[in-house]
Amino acid sequence: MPLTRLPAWAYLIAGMIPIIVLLFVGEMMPRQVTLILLALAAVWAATLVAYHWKRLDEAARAAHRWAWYWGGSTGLALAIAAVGLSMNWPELATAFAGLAQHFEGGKFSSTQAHLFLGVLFTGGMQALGFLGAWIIWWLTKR
Amino acid sequence: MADEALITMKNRIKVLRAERNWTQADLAQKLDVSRNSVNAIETGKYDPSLPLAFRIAELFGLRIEDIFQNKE
Repeated sequence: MPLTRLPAWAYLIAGMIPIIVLLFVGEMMPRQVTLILLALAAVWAATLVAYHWKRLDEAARAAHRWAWYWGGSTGLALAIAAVGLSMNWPELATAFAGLAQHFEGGKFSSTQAHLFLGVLFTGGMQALGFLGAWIIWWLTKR
Repeated sequence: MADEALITMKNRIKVLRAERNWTQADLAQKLDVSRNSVNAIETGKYDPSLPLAFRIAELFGLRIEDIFQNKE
């Protein structure tokens, strides 16, 4: 099978491999080398994601667009709502702070830990929303 | 769902496919789309783009309007 005719998912996996590898071995190399390799891995990932998109058929693209619009934005809205809730529900803020403490120390400062957790939470909510909407799209098109 | 309001087409793909003894997978391979997409188009739950509609018409040797019609 020619390399330009692989299944769409294969490009996605191939694109992510260097970044995942660098997440594990990056600390073993000098920081500048890791940063350069990360930049190259990001370019590689962007290129392969573009191939992934090109190989998706149009219904699959429609599912992605619909799922990101409705699921991704709903996930984002829920993440924002959680921030609002935490202002009126101190237990939620305390639980979040407790989670952040797990990341503090060696790699992260307190601010970085909170930022990391915020990004992880927001991204996770968007990803969950996307997944739910993507499943709904395909279930309604069966 | 907003896009469902735009789906106004019915089609004869299932009949045309059956006449040729093609499975959905066969048709999907010939059109270079997924079997799920063929199923969604065939059941009228997803309207193909104009380029894909032309490919479908060309594959069956028919005009687009011989395959796709308005629901109303």
